[in-house]
Amino acid sequence: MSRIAFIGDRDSVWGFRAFGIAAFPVAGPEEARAAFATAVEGAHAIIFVTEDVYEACAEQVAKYRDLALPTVTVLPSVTGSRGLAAKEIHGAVSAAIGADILGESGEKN
Amino acid sequence: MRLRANPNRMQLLRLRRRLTLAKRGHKLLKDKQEELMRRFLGMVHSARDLRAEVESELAGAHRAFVSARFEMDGSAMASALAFSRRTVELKAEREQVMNLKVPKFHVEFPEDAEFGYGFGETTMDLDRALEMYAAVLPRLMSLAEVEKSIQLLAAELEKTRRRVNALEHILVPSLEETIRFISDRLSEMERATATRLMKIKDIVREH
Repeated sequence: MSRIAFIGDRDSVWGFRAFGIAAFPVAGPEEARAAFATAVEGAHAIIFVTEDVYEACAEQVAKYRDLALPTVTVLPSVTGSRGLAAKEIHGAVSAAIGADILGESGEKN
Repeated sequence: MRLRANPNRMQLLRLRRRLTLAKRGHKLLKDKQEELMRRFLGMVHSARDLRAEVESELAGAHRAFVSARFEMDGSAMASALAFSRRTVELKAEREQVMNLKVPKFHVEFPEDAEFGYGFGETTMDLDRALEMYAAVLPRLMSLAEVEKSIQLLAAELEKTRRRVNALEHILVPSLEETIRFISDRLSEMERATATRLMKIKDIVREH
């Protein structure tokens, strides 16, 4: 089995099954949290989540923030991107530098 | 802000040693900060381009997949996906950057392998969608890698920046001030002793 997991709504994750990726189709925040816990236990190196799942699992994700593995990455779902990942990076950059260097281009992404 | 220290030679020497240590630590941390920053900025820019690229491609692949889903029956889809033999192999390692461990992913992806499902019950849309997923997958891994590295580096940079600032603006100035205070006090005491001795000498001579 591959060491990649994908959690999100069914349409967003299902196709990745074709590549041996563990896809966890979830509906709603409760299921998302349960799936995230399972994915972490399953020793997946990368856990891709959609923006909705990321928001639902924010607390669980925060626990793994300072560890190299598992890596949690936000991807847009079929309904499109709300720019959550760009905001995360933007926040990290301003925290690191102490100033907002990306400016508006960071918001736009 | 002056530190609480008795004005004597012992303390003076000790503080001087602490000052050189603090200055050396400050210099090292500053170097570390600069190096982290250099790597960090490079990563941020590449991550931003990569994310934009990946998101637009993934959106296209999602669209293709959704239209395939409309055309195909759910169970046929499930079995087609389950039979696929194009499996991504991921090797995850930890790479050392300064004092941090960042993830490093090696993707092994059989480019030429066929999807193992039959052609009868699948649609062209599904093939197209899966091809698009396949094209974007390796870059998803590198995006995960670089974004995680950015998060880790950002946390470390913040910590380092705080340490550098604490040394530069608090510890070093207060050490310097205390050293100045003690050495002033010591030379004042020395002068006091000298005058006292001269006075005593005068008194002794008068007798």
